[in-house]
Amino acid sequence: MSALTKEFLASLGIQLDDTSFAAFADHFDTTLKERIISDIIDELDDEQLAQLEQLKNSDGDQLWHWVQANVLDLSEIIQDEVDILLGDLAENADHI
Amino acid sequence: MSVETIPRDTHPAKTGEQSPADDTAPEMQVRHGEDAVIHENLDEAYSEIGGTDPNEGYSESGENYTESSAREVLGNTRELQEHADQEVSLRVRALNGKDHIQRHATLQTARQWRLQSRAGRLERKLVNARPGSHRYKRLKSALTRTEYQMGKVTTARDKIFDRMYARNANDEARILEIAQKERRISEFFINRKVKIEKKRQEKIKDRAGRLKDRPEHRAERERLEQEMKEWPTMEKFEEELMAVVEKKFNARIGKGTA
Repeated sequence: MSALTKEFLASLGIQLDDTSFAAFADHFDTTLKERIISDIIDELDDEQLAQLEQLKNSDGDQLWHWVQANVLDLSEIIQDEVDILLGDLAENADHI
Repeated sequence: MSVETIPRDTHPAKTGEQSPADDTAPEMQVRHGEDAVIHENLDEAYSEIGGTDPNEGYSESGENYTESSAREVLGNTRELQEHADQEVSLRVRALNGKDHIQRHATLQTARQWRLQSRAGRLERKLVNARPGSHRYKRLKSALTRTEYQMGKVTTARDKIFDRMYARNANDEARILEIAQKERRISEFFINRKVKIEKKRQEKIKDRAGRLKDRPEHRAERERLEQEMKEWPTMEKFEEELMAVVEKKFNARIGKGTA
């Protein structure tokens, strides 16, 4: 479930009914995740990218452990992309 | 500069008016109950207002197989979504209690700060990437995209301040207060920009130094040395940026007292 709330969107001037909100929140989450992943990929060099590819069939814990060990700015990346996307959303609030 | 006024008390967020989407052009409306077209409509709505699609510049075209594969692997990481959700919740809570304009101002300031943070990270990576390599091109393209967004966010912040000035047009003391606040924010970003530039220059100097004994990298070293010759001093760099802020501050005050 998305951390974005209907009340928060309304406070930015975006009024949506339940159905539209669910789709919007889903779209927001997908966009955010895609952006975070893009940033992570930008952080990794070719060797790390190849290592990550090898982890395709590994379990979630192993993968997460690798991400934490190799993406040193992970926390900053997530915070950056959350603020950037919320800012994009606020800027476009009047048009949604 | 155009002044776009949205009186606080008549804004939909304050009056509880229903769906502003209903007042927009049909192609921009979010059609209630039609899940299949909602995503498409949201994307259209974003692009209708001047290429501000949240996915703008995030095309995967040109991405090599390893990157696509890494993207797919990361897409299956549940923890990433959980962390992102936590951050979103924190922001939503932090904005409680702020009025409409304060909320927008806070979000645009945070956005600008974070775009600078992303640009700084990319610049640091770029210095160590081999020019012409796929990685170099990927980082360069991400940096260009980020710089473009930074230009847009400044415009968005200007618009918010325009609204604040318009709302207080007859109150000189308040105009001064807003102008000082705007100047403080600008100075804050300039200081950060100067720090990032300093760090970038140090990295380039360092890289050029390390290449001195490596004839196979002569072309790159010469390129870096040429770039170094063109740098303004840090003082001049800062001075020029501050002069722009001061000019704007004076114009804002003039506007308020005219």
